[in-house]
Amino acid sequence: METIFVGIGEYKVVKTPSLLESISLGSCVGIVLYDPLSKISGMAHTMLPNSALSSLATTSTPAKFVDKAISIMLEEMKKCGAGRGQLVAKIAGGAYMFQSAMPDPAMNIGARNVEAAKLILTQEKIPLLAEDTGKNYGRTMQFNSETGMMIVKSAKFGIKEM
Amino acid sequence: MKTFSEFELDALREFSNVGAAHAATALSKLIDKKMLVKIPTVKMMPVKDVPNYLGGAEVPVIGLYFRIGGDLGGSILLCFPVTTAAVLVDLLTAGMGTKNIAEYGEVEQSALMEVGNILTNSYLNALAEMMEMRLLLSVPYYSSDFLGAVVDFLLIELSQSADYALIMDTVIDSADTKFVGNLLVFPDDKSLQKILEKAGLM
Repeated sequence: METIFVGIGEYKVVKTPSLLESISLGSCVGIVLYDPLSKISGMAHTMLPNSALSSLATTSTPAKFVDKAISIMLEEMKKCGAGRGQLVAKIAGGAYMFQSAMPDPAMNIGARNVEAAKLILTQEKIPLLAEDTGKNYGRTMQFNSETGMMIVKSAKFGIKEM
Repeated sequence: MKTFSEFELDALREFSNVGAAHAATALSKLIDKKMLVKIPTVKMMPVKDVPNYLGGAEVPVIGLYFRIGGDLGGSILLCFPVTTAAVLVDLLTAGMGTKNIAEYGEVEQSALMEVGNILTNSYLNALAEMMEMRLLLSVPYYSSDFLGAVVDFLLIELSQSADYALIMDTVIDSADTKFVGNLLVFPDDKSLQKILEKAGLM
């Protein structure tokens, strides 16, 4: 099976069985949308919660925003033939990577990314089947579009299947 | 995308070089080894290419993040591979620290944060003097993980207002000991302008 890497701020949608992978998510959040019947799947490696809060008028990497990433993937998956009503989601990442004598809550962008992802998935009525988010460590997220399984790897906890 | 002329990039290279030379001297005194400063890299690249530029998203590293305050704003990331962290911990704790990075406790982390403090403050003080500015540095924020996860916070900060990162990077290494580290400076847009103005280029 082909492994398809999703770089920081990017997204990929696949129609044929593939392994989608986002490497070393820190505060970034990896979002998988999946249609269990057609197996059409998308993964985004998002960085920021909301495109409306950005000072960028245009961007070459809209999928860096959680809201844009989800809407772009929905659109593209629909075009590929995915059934809108049966989509499910899995997410990973959104950590707070730094320790300090004076922690700065404003630096916890990871939590805001996770919150944004959950809010939009709820609005879009897409059930969130699995998540491994928050805390203070990086994660690599892998999604098998054949089986629908997500693997989350971290230095601290090894491999989790969900 | 904002672009810079070759002259502007040269001015920023000079800016990095002065800071890094002071940082390397301070480090050299601290651990009593000769340090080398490579010619600084100053270039624009897409945000997504930064992890690969720094050696790859899956390399285990220690990252020390600082915020710049005073007359300039922005952030600094000091980043070194775990092999270098091990050398530093060994030297600074007189061999009493643990060798296993996964078991780094308060002593090892404090030692590395202190190295970070000394290096970044030397860097910034040299610049403050050169630019006749008052520059302040936050406390260090410590992270130990895979490179991609350590740098993504910085990239997120940049990505709010840009798709490209201006990389101002200096590699410090040593022939005497196994040390290599990247010192990355990310001035915010306003500060970049101030730096270039001071250099007489705008």
